[in-house]
Amino acid sequence: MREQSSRYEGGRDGGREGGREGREGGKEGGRRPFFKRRKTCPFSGPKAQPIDWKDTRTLSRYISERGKMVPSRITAVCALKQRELAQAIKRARYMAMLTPARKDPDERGPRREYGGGGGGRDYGRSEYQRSETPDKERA
Amino acid sequence: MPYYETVFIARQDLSAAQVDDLAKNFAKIITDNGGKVHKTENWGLKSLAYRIKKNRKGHYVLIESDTPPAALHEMERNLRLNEDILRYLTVREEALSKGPSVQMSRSDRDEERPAFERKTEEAA
Repeated sequence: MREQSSRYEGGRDGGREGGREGREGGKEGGRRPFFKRRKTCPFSGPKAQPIDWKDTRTLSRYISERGKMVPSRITAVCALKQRELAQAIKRARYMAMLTPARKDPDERGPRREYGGGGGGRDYGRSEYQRSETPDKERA
Repeated sequence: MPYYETVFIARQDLSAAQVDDLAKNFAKIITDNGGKVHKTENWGLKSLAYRIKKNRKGHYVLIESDTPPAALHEMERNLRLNEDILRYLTVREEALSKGPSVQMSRSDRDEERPAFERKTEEAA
């Protein structure tokens, strides 16, 4: 339980933990005492893969359909690596290897996501699950 | 001398030979100014994620070098002057890379092996 909170950047955890847990339980069909194995950071540890801004395939796993970064609480990337990842994604965007994060609608963004400015925290689960599917890099 | 990797995007209507010439010219700037070019890679014509100067595609070239900053600045100056260059990015590296970069190895990897095999090999 405690180690779960270590994933959050300092200062933000506080009251969030309980809410999150509830959500995770909900995924498994509403059973509360369900222990979900903690995902670990894919970029740290002995078998870590390096973060390379040229590796668009890996990077694209950490951005949503609209080109925004996926929050680390969903991908389980640790805070340090999340910052490195951010830098790598920005570089790749600058070199037009990744799509830029967009606010306005265009032909490729999913339509449902905007409409009301209240979207800030409500990350649709489906979107991030879909980001696991490979290969949307060329299009 | 510090290590740098520079990637530039050349205009799409250049021929592959012209792109190679460009790469050679820029590599020469580095060697003339006392640097060493570790490797150059031509990633070929790739489509850009968004339009840059009305171009939808571009030739990507990577130059990795071990060079004094002055030589690198001279090369960057030329990159800026050259109208065929849409964009460039230089990143300083801690160490020179071994083997071809991901962009290079990707295309042949995709053809030869399924994804899961690739993963195990990287871990080994």
